[in-house]
Amino acid sequence: MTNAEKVIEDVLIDPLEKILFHVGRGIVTAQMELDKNSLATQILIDNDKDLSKFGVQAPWYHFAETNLELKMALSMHEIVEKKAGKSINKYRIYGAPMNANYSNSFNYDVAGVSIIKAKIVSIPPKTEVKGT
Amino acid sequence: MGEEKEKVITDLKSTISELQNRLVAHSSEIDMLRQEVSRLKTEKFTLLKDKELLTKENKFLKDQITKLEAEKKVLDEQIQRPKVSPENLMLSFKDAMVRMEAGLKSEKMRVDYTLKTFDVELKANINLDKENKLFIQMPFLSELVPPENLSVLKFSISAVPKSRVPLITVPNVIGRMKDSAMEIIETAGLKASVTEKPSSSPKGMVIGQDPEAYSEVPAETEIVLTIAKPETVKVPNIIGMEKNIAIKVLESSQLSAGKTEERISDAAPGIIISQNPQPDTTAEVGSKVDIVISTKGIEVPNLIGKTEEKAKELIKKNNLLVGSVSYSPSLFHGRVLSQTPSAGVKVLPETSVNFKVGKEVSIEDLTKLFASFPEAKKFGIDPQLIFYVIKTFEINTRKNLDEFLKLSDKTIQEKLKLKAADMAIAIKEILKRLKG
Repeated sequence: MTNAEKVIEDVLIDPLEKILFHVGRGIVTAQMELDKNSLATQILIDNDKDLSKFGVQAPWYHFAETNLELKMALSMHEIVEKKAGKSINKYRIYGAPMNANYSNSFNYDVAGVSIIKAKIVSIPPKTEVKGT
Repeated sequence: MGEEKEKVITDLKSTISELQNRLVAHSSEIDMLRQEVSRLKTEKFTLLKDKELLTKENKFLKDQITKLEAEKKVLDEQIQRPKVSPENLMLSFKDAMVRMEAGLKSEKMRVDYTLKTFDVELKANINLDKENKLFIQMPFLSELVPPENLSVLKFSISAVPKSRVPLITVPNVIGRMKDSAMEIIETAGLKASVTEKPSSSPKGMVIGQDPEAYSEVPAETEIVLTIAKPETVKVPNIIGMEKNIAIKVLESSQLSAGKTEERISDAAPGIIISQNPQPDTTAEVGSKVDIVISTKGIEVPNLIGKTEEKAKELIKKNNLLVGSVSYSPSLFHGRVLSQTPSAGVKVLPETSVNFKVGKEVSIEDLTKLFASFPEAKKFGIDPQLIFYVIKTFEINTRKNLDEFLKLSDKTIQEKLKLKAADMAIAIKEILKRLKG
C-alpha cells in the first residue's frame, strides 16, 4: 500500500453508519435552524405593536421531502468485536466520499463508485399523547 | 660440364614436379576450405534467423509474464477481499439505516423526520463458493479495478409504518410503600425504577412518580418512583458533656439519647466519654445516640474467710448485689472460700458478687475423695481417722491447718500413733484437698 493510499484509508474512510448518522443529523440541524429563524421572526412580530395588531404570524417551514444521492466508494472491512470475553469477526461497510479532487489525485474511476439514494420525509405529529 | 647442367636440369624438373604436386594438394585443400566456408555461411544465416525468432518469442513471453503477474495481483487482492453473505451485507445496511434514523431523531424537534426509501447501487463482485452459495466481495478502497469488472447490485429498502402500540394507563402509586408500588407497576406491564429523596414522609413511601398517574404510555415504559428517605442531620459532639446537657444538645439536633451505659474511667464521674454514632457523622432525623458515661467504680471487698452473713452484709454495704452463693465441702465450714469478682477489683455499682461457702465435710464427701486417692486405701486410712485428726488438731481455720501441715511426719505419727510415717504424708494430702 502506498503512502497516498494509506492516507485515504486513515483519513477519508468512515463506517457507513457513521456517515449516514451525520447526514441524518444534518437534516435535523437544518430544521432546527429554520425553526430558530421562525421563532426570531415571531418574537420580532410580537414586539411590534402594529404587526401583532393585524395578526401577522411568522411562517414555519419544514423539509417535506429530502432526496439524497451519496456517491461513495464502499468497501468492506473486517472488524473484531469483543462481546462477553469472546471475539466476534464482523464485517462493516466503510465509505469514502468521492469528489473531483480525490478522483484526480488518486486516479480512481468514478464509474466504480456505489450510489446510495435515500428519501427522507417529514411525518405528522404523533396522535398518541404521552403523559398528561 | 654437360653432365652438371643435365643434373641441374633433372633436379629442377624434380623440384618442379614436387611443387606441381604440392600445388595440386593445396588447390584441393583450398577447394575443401571454400566448400566449408560456404557451408558455414549458410549455417550462420540459419542461426541468425533462429536468434531473431527466439528474441521475438522471448519478448512475447516476457509480455505474457507481465500480463499474468498483473492478473495474479488482481486475483490475489480478490482472494483477500472480505467475502460477505448477502444476509450479512443487508444487516450492515440495516445497521447503517438504523443509525441514520437515530441521526434524524437526535434532537427533539417540532417536526419529525423518517427515512422513507433507501436505494443502494452497489459495485461489487458476486461469486459462488464451493457450496454454491452466493457471496459478495467489494474492492478495497485503494484497489484499482476496471469498473466493468464489477457487478452492480441495486436494491431498495422502504420504511413500513409501525403498528400502533396499545397504551397502558399508569397506575397511581403515590402514598404506597416501595415494594407494593413496584409490584403494581410491574403487574400493569410497565417497568419501575427508583430514586430517593429526603423527606419527612415515612421511609420507603412513594412520594412522586414520573410519568404521572393516569398517563397513557406504551408497554414496558419505565416509571420512575420517588421514594422518601429519612432526612439526615449531622451528629453533634457530646463527648465531655454531662448527660442532661447532652440530651438537650441532641434534641436541638432532632436526635435523642439512646442506651446509656456506665463505664469505669479516669474521667470525672457523670461525664460522657463515648457516643454512637460518632460525632460529625450523619444520622437519620429522630434516630437515637447511645452514650457511655464515666463512673469511678466500686472496689470489691475481700469476703474470703468471712461468714456467709458477714459477706452478704459487706456486699450490700458497698452498693453491690449478692450474686449466686454456692456450697462446697470444706474444713472451713461456714466461711467464704472463694469469690468473683476477686477482692480489690473495681466494678460498676450494683454488680453481682458470687461466692462459695464451705459446708461441713460428710462421710460421703470423704468416700468420694478416697475413691480418687488410692494411697488412702493402701495405708488403711478411713474417714473416721480423718474426722479424728480434724477434731484432735482443731483444723477448722486456715491458721490451724497451716500449723498442722507444718508439723513433721514423725510428730504426727507419734501423736496419732500411726503405723508408718508415710501415713502422715497421705493424711496431709487429704487435708489439703479438703480446703474446698
